[in-house]
Amino acid sequence: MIAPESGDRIAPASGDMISPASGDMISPASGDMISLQHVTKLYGTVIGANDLHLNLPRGAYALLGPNGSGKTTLINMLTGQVKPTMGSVRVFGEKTWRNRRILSRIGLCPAVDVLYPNVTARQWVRHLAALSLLPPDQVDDAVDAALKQVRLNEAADRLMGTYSLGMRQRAKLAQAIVHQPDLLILDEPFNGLDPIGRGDVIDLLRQWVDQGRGLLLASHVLHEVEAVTDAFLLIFGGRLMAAGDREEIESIVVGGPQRIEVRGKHLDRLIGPLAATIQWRELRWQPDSDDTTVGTLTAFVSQSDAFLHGLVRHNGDQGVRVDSVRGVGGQLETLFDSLMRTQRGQRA
Amino acid sequence: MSIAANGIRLAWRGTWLRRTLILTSFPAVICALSIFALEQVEPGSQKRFFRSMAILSGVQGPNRLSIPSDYKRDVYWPLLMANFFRYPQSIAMVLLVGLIAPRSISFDYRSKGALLYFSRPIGVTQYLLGKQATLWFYLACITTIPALVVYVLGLAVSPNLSVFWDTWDLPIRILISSLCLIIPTSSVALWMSSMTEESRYAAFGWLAMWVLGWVTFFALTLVASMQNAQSSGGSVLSVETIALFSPYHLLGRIQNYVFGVIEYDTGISWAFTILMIVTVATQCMLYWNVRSRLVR
Repeated sequence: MIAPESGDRIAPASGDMISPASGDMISPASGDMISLQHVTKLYGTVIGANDLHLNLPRGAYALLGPNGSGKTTLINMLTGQVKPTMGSVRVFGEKTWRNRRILSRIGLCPAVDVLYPNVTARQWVRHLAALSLLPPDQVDDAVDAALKQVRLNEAADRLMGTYSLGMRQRAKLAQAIVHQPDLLILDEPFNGLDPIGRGDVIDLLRQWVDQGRGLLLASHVLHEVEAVTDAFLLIFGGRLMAAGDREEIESIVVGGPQRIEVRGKHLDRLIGPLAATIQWRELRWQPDSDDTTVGTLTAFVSQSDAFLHGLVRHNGDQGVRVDSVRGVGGQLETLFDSLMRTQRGQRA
Repeated sequence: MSIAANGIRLAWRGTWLRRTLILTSFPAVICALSIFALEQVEPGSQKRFFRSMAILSGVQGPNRLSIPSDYKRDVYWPLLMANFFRYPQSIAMVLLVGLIAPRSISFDYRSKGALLYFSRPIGVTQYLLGKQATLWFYLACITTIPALVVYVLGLAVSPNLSVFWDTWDLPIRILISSLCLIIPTSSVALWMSSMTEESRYAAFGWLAMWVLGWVTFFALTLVASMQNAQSSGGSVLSVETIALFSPYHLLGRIQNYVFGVIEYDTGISWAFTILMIVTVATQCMLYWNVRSRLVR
């Protein structure tokens, strides 16, 4: 696990590079795709970003966090639309605030639904391609390629007012990739897409990553981003809670507060002894309907290792039989939930 | 450039815009025919024509524009052009801007498209220039371009080259008058558009500004005439002063001055000052509105 507060460099799991940053030096490594140096953004008294500090080499990253966690604020700072109150935001070594030039290397697909009902997707994407400073003789080819990539080429000459939400989402994606940016930033790109559309976008993003291009994918749906990358940045309350691949993130949770589900027989008999020996937030027994001696014991505990030791110790007592234990390793959702709880200062 | 080209293309799709543009070409034809007729008719008719034009301009009478003893192109042609700018084209301008400008920025807010504009390497200034250039193009289509075409046609049908020496400054006056009309009006209209996501509010505000100006002008004119009738000293409200309260009449006086139809007076400098302040203020507010919405 790479603690984000330390300013260490975080590499996507596919990459080899995990190297420490140069102490307190503010200057980012020249090869970094994204570099945040103690970035804080205040909206009046509301904190949008809280001392974000990390360097990301080129790669694919999933920015995870619930609604209102600061994902969009961070994206807006990366695209120069929000000025950080403190700290510096750099993309490819260049500051983003008041530096419009860097935007020709960034493709943004925002979360909001953009609708120009009286223009076709082709006209819209062409217009935005022209604004991206593409050479005029390359615009039409780039537009065709982008529309084909998002599988919108057949409907590209229809007015966007007739599009479904999913088609508009694809059009939005097409405008983000039309100028072949070095860094593609997607904010909730799966909104409104049906399962087939999601699959298509996931395929597209995998191809994008395979080409060695940068990707920052913001979402609050874990399983969608897992399909694209296993390098995660977990953000909550404007703070970067954890960063790294799934195993690295899991490692900080092991021994810490988490949810554990235990399947077995007479597990309700464990509640008393366990409750007396470990710190717990919830111990819930849910018997099966057909056999009430068998069921699931759900535990929210502050020290998972103590809980597991207790489980082993009492296994076999009073007819107790443990069939399976499912912890954070089985569900990234649970991991995320645990990190949230840790960050909120909640005790299991 | 791309923003302007796209804006022009999108606006062109409007049926009412195309109808307005066709309609506004008729006054230019009439103006061209008038110049042709002026060059052909006998002096008596020329004087009658001049008198009616001067009355139309509101500049006829003692101490104002006097009828020249013989036909002078450097007086007749500018007067004709001033009326062309002041009446049909100014009214067309109100309609045309009312059709294009209200949606121009407010729809970008509403559709969230502005967010994508600013994810491109363009700044607020370039964005606003593109939006304004769309308006400038269409306004030039109904003012500058037809006026210059009429002038060139006038030269073409004239009997000799002396026409050019008599009227060489007219294209310059046309350009200045166009600038006085186009820049402040587009600035005000886009500022209104930048204040709301609802383009109908911006359209209402735009039209209300002109209507209220007219109402104020006529109300003050009525008050002034009543004061004139009641006291021998006359009213403190002169036409020059009253015109400052109506955007339409303020622009009209400036255009009359630019075409040399009226002489310089303090009212003109006030009119220019107001126009300048309004333009600069609305440009600043326009910039601020867009920037504060999109860049935080």
